[in-house]
Amino acid sequence: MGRRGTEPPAGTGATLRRPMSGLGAPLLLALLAAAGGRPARAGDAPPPTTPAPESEAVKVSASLDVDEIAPGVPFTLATVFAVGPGWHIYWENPGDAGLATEARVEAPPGFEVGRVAYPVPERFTSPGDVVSYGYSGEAALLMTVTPPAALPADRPTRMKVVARWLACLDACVPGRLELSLEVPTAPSGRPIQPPDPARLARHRARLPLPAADLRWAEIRRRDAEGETELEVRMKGAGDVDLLPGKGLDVALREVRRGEEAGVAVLGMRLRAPAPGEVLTGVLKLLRDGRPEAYSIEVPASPGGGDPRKVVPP
Amino acid sequence: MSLRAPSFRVAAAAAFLLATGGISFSAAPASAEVGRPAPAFTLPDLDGQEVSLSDFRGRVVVLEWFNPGCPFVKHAHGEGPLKDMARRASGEGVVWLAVNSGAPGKQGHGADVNREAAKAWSMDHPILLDESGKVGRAYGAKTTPQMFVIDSAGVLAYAGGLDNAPLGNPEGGARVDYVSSALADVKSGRSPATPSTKPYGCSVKYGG
Repeated sequence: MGRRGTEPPAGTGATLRRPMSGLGAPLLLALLAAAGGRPARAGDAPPPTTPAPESEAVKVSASLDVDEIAPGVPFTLATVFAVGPGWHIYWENPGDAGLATEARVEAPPGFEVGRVAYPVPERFTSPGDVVSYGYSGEAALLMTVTPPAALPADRPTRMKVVARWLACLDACVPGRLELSLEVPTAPSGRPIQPPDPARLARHRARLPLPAADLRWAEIRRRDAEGETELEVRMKGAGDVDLLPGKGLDVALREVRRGEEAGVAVLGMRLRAPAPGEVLTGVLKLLRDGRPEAYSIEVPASPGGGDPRKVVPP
Repeated sequence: MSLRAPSFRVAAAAAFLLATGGISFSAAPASAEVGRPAPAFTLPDLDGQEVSLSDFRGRVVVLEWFNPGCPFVKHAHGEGPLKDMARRASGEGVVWLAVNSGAPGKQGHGADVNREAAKAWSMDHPILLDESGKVGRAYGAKTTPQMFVIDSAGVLAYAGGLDNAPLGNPEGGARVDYVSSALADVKSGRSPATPSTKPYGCSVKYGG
């Protein structure tokens, strides 16, 4: 594994250089902090019961699934947030409090950068019934970057990743970091190496699966005057939980869980969303004791009462 | 979150499921609701003087949930919209009250810390201490800064965020100043065009 850098103060630029590779090790681009902090070593992590000091709340690094960029070949860029013991950062929908963790890529003209994919979040509850969603430990925000079909082979590609987050223990500290990446371009005239799926596998495994992969679930949305009900019924699943996506929890009034004849039932009552608004979220559940998570989106019911259903493939 | 096209389709057994399925819900949680009378309260200011909402009957009142240690509050008062908003509104007859529902031992608690912040940010309006969190809970205040606008009839007219720009970064482009809009509407005798938004910020530091 490569080194992981420490987080310099907000706004500080840092340069990432490609480490020596070729041993089959994942290319973890090391962040050389321009100012502040020292490299973190595995040996000096505090015991988990002691919260990390504010300066060690979050360390950010970037990682790719390719060694070199090839024209027209999409690759994945991971912005990895290593969250110190006791601290947490936030999901795309932070919930009642907090701030979405963000990663933005600035790439040369002609590069296309896809949407950020967030890993499955956890739920945090604090006094006063304040519910938020986010991550402790480690979270990687993944983005697909597609280089243009024509790319000069003699020049490395320079990209910038701008990361923003809010880290909270009891109190919160905002952070911002810019990482500069310099990645070689594949020389012309030899076969292009496709992205290595093993490289970001650990991070990919933490993304929710697409709704199309969801089996044996019924998701019904009922829009009534001033109120919407969402009900999820699943066979053979336990601990069903729906973490509301952006927009959904604006109006979350009540959540109920139950079981009817072996079918897990999760109900949510919401203040009616804007007309036509698609409700999104991450559905978490246990199947055969193993956790699963799916991205779901529930469009408004056209006739006002039609349920929507996910059926087995 | 990367979402594929939805794979939902209308279930044939819909009517049956709708008729038989379902779990019942109890009443909505008790917290302040827009369009209903704002919960009454009496709280001490930093000098221990009691201030009641009913003292301001007939006037428009703004409540600003406050924690001087919260980065969102620091931004809003230090360089953001709260730098002079309260002063301008007060000049037009609006009553502006900050409420700190932080419990003892939590960030931003205590008269001295709040007095220092008020001085640093030239806050002219009172900061009320709600150590028990009772008033914060009655209003359903979850974040700082969370804002409430109460009209001259004592009805809650707006509840939600200060604007759409946490730490000065507008979501979706241009900044929308919800509180100023609500105040303008209320003063013109209209219901605010946007009566509630999702508040943002730090969690209110309630006691356990």
